[in-house]
Amino acid sequence: MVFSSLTFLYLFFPACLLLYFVLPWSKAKNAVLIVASVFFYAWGEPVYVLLMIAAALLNYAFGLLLDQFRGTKYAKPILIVSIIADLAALVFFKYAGFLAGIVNGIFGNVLSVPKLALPIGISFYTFQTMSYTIDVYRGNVKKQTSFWRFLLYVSLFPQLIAGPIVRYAEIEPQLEKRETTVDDVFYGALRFFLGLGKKVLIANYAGKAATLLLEEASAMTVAGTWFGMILFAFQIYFDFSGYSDMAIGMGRIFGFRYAENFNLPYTARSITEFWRKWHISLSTFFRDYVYIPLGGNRKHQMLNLLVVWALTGLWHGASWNFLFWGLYFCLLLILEKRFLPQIEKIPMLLRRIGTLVLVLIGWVIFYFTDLAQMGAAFSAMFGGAPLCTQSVAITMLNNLPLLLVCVIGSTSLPRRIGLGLDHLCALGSPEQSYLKQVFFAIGIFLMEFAILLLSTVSLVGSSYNPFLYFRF
Amino acid sequence: MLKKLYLFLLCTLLAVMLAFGISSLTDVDPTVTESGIVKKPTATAESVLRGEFTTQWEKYYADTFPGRQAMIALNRTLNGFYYFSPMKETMLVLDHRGGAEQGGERLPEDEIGFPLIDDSTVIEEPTDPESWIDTSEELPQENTGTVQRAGNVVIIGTRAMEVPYMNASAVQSYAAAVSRIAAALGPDVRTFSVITPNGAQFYTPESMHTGASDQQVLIQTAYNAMSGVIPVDVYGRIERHTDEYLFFRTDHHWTQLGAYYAYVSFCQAAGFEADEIETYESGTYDTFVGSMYAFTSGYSQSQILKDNPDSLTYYFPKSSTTARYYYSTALSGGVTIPVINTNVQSSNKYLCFISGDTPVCIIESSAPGGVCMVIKNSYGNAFVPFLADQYSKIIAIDPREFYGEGKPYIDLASFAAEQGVNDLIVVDYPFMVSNGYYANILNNLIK
Repeated sequence: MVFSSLTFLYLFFPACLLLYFVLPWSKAKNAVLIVASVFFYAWGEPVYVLLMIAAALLNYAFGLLLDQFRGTKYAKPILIVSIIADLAALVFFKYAGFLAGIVNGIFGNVLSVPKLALPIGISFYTFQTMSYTIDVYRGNVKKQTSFWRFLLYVSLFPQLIAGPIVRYAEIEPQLEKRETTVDDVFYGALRFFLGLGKKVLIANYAGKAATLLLEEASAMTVAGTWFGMILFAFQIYFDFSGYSDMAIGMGRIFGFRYAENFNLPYTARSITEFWRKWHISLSTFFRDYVYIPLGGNRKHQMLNLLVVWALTGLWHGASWNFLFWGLYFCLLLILEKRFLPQIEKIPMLLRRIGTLVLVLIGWVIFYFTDLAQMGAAFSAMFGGAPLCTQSVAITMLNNLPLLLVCVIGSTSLPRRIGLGLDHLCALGSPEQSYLKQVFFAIGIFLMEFAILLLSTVSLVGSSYNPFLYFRF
Repeated sequence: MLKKLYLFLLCTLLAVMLAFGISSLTDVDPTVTESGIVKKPTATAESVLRGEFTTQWEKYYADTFPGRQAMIALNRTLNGFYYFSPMKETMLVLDHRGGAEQGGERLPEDEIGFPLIDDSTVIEEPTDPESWIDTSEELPQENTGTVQRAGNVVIIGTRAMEVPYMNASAVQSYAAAVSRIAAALGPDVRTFSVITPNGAQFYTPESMHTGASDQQVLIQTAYNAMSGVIPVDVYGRIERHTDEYLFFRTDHHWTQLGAYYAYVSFCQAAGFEADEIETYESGTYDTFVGSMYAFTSGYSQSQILKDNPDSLTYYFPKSSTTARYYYSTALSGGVTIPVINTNVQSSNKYLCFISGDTPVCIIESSAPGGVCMVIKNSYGNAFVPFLADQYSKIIAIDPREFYGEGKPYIDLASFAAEQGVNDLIVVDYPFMVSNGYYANILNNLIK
């Protein structure tokens, strides 16, 4: 089940909310969330739900063991075994085919390439469980004594399938006891609906248009490929950050406070800044659990960077292009550090544009898992194709309003408008301020309602298959 | 006080979602369920464990969502924003997977008396299980289990068209499949390939019918790759008559006049003589809004198609004919149909030709010719009636009706031999030729 589905919006989520808030006891609330989360996961993965529960059980046990043997010579081996166990499942399901392909490429067809379906969210929950065991080992967090609370941490549906990667330390106290105020729910609902709008009303349409322009290598043009890649850049941003917004919003409604995962990444003035604003929970995970333990800036920094970015690339998928994508950013970051004084002399606007172009080139590497198609796209972007065709020109024209929404939506303007209105509400006498806040709240409610309505219309409309109906 | 307002607003929102949720489970849109298009999935242990049940249920839920029709209408307004075009000139480009042909053209149940696919119908299987196993040489199949994207749909002005892309490997697979069918039927059967361009080749701006979308190159590539097949030059003749009404503007098919020019080219290749079109008795459906309107009906640009409908002219064969269609090559049962239906109730008037797509349609004619078999998609439906003046028996087969789970078995070579087929004609258009999925469908005909 995905958040942006009719089943989630009209059945699962309202039923879950109702049950959660009707029951007064915190244990019952947790039980509702656990049952709902397991059901949510099993809806899409009726078999692999057992894998997720097993992973939770295993890491819960490792947590107890690590706590028991903390400070002894056994602690480190236990930690290593726990990490190997976590990574083994991830590697088996996500990378076995890729690795077998490499082995076969070198030694001939010696291995059969397994075709396994990737369990949804395994990359996210594996990193969450690893962060727990590592933090218990380091003494940063206490062991969790209740398996159910640990299962709640691992399986909590708001962040289960698309992140953010929530570290145990972030929500440890909230697993047992948390309070939700009306303000929290109001804010959470706002974040949820904003995320829904980003996903359904922007990302889905940008994705359709990008596919139209990028899928057929023989029909690529210079203008169409650039335009398609720009739309893909917006698709992935609004899709991913939309999901994060929904997760953060739902978490807030249920009393959990998740850290931000995106912070207007397309406004970055450098690649370094871009990665501080893009998928923050992943980059900080690699920083804290891989880069710094390897030695960070202190020893063999280049090697550390190489390892971290190769892993960052491969985390996104088991394919060469993702590895190249990670290494591409590694190279950019090294160059950026090396030429920092010169870069800082470049006017701000040019730095922003330069960063966007470099990120866009990165998305080309990311988008095409087929390296031949990637080559065709690069060739088209840099003049190896006709400048434009009528078909591409019409597609670009058709998508101009969407592009405008994407551009505005990815800047700080919407946030500034919101903050400005909020600030305006606080001005004036208490009576005036109160009245303005009432209007502001009603305005937000109407906006949420409009997003829900338009998203529903879009979801119902996109399920409409005219040929299905035409045939009969 | 403000908190009370927040609470009230939040509760209102939740109540709306809950109310819709509850009503969505009870108030199911009857127009969808009664038509039989959407069926509520049944949970089995296997379907649940494979995750198929939940996927099907979500689809069922979306298809039966309360207020669905109103939402689809609203979505059209919403698409006016997402698919912008200037007021004075209507322009739209959409992703088009597989070709409108995959939707097919079938007569609705109420017009033919009983359902085409009757659950009680027994699917004929070969008595020898070994014959299920394909022992032929490795097929040049496209490795695709699904319909591929083969181009775009565009609306320019008052005309909607399919613009194909040439998928070189799919075209090779198509040519190999036709050659394989020709070889399987043996040297005594003449095999003709009739590949027609569609309207996009002639009525789009230059860049939409050149390069990868050049249908002339696509057709010639397919012909060049065939062996044991007589290629019919339809393109040249159609190109000379593009100032006539050869292609619909609101439908992806050709008109029967377009099909007539293909028939003239075929006659030339086969050594027959075609009569002038003026000598045929004809009739007209004045208003026809076809598949391209249906495909684009979710977008505001489609309005111009609705406002400017096509007309459809049909031509009767000169010989007297009787026709029946059958569910399989066992030819049991069968339903009598007119070769040209002058009273199509459906809005889809193109169904007037041999009652649309049926698995096997056999036309007996008073003409003194031999037996011909036509492998066709719906483009062939307008072409087949003309053949009734050259052959005493025409067997039209839609290969899509024999491909996939639950579809009847076919061994085309044996069936052709049983029927004493003299000529085989394979009629297609670029969207089929450039789709690897369709090559698989053709390969399925030969065991």
